[in-house]
Amino acid sequence: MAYGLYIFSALIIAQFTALALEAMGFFGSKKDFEVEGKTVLITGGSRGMGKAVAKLLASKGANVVIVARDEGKLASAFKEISHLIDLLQAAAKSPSIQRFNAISADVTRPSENKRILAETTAWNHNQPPDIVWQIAGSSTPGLFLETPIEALHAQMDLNYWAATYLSHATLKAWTTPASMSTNRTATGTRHLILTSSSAALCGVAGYTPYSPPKAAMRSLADNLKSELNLYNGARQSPDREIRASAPERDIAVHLILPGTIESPGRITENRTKHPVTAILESGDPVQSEDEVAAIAVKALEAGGYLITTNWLGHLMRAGMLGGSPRNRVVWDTVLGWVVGVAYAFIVPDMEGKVWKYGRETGLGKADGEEK
Amino acid sequence: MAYGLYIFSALIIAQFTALALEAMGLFGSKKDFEVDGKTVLITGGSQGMGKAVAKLLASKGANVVIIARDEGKLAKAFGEISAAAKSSSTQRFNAISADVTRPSENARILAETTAWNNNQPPDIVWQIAGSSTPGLFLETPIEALHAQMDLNYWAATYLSHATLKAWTTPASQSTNRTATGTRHLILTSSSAALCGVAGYTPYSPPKAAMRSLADNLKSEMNLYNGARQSPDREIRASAPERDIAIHLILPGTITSPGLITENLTKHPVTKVLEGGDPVQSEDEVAAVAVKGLESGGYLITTNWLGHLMRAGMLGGSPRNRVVWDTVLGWVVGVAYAFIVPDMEGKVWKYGRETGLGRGEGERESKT
Repeated sequence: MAYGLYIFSALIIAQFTALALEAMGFFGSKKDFEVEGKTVLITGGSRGMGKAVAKLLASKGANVVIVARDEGKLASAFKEISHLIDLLQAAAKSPSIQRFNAISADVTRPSENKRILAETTAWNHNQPPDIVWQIAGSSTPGLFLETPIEALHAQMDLNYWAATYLSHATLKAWTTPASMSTNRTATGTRHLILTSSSAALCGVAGYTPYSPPKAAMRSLADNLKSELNLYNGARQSPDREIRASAPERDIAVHLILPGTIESPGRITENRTKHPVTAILESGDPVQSEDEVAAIAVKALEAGGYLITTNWLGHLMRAGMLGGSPRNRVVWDTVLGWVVGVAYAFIVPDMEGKVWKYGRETGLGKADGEEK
Repeated sequence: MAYGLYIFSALIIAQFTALALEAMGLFGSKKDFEVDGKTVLITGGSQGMGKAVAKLLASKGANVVIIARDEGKLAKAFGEISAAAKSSSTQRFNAISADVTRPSENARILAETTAWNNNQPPDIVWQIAGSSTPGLFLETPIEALHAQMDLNYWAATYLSHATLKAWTTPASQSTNRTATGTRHLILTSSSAALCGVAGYTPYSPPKAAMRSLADNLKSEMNLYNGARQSPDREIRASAPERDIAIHLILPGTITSPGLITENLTKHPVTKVLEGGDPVQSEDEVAAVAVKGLESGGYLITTNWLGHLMRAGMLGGSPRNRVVWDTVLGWVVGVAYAFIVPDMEGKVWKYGRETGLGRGEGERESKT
């Protein structure tokens, strides 16, 4: 027991020393998210967080291509697209130089994602976009047994498969061997950014349709982050053949995990949400679309990998780091210690709230019958 | 800074006090996984971990129904499992051939098992069916990614849906008053859900999705279990007749037929990252898992590496032994600070020295 305490004390002293060194700027941070003059592809860009991000990056000098939902009716879709491009033009840093485009597509189909990449590449002087940011997604929560299997599939299609297909098409384009490259002027790391949710970091009653897809996306990002080291390492090979087969530019992957956003998506979400879920979520911070966009971009500029957007998200992330690369190693680790202790009290409290709701209100929704 | 240190010291003292109290047995643990005389449904029961679990539970007195696709393997396993019975005169066994990746098949499995079990749904349902075909993301066709999700996530979701539907029939409509005790739904994920490594994009996301499903269901079951205890008679009548518990097993590497399949597509860089990982037999994993269930565990890992990985990724999941899990999480968090850059460096170095191929022999990219 005494030896354990000694070791533990040593660990703590080491952590605090490193914390002090980190605060003094001893450990560098990567600043490689320059967007001016770059081309950014954003899915889910017609509303909510996606639209806010598109406007923000336009104001920072990027050429922006947004992918909007395929609305079907040609006339209204065309009108919406024109309106979106006008919006981006109005936000642009240098409207005479920057270019904007909007594509209508169904992101839940693999072929559509290939088309999106191909059309964007053709529009971008035959170069794939420099930055690809999946934001398309939406939540229709509800009790597991009140959710039809088809609805579970629809949630997985939009919140996981769409991101997977986009990643596949994008990385295929970005890993064309350097020896076959047609462009020698563009430089800098290419960024693939996926948008998950803090729902991936905690399970609550009423979220079985939405949390698993977002947790799957977090896992995809972790695996891809590890895997891309293979391609980035090959670029630095002393062997000429290996270098020729490697991509022409480094690739970085990032994962945004926002909390509750005051967006059109939230209205949809609250329609099917069970009251017990609303109880568990009460007290959670709510952010505007623009706030979330600003925080996400700031964190990308600081070189972050897992990026949360409010105090609750930061805590949830620190409490579920697993084997994911940390942003600020010492800070994330110490925060994780504190969150671990807090969860020891929070978890039984949340389980108790659900149990109490069942005991007092039963299985229905209190006002109105479920199907 | 000084105040922070004081608060931190207080937290540590509190943790060690609770640790001592826990060791002294002050916090109880639930022991409610009695299988003697109960009926257990196991998917993936014809080989590997599933067959080992079926044999073990048969030896503990359970009636066992195994599910698998291949009728030949099913028949062979059936023989081995019934031979392991504790009291062959009283225990019953059944085998059903089914494709667990289809929702209708899962509904059929539950219905046939219920009919066979004197019109009572099984007491325990354990999904073990699953398999891993790892590989680099860009070398894996989309169809293969879907096949992995179908088998390693959707099969468990469909089985859970059918099972919980059967178990939440209102108490007022129940036809059986003799069976008692908690009903257990057990899903089998993987430690791959707890860490991302190069070459595992087909398999890890489905298993991570399953972990999330378990977390959400565990929270949600409190609604049904709470309703059972309501002072309101109508609420009690609409609630299930028995409590429902959820568990998630996260094994590591198992020397099973599945491992042979897995290693066929696995990229060499993945093997570099996995070097040093403990490997267990199917029977060992089954024994450790059942022991974990008998201790009332929720997230159950089966070897030292799994325990550490679980402690490092607890998030909002209910803990098994609160103080122990929390302190272990502290230590693992510090260890990861060194392990993560080391693992990323290994992949980078492999790319630098060997490139994107597989070293010996080229692999055609079929996308």
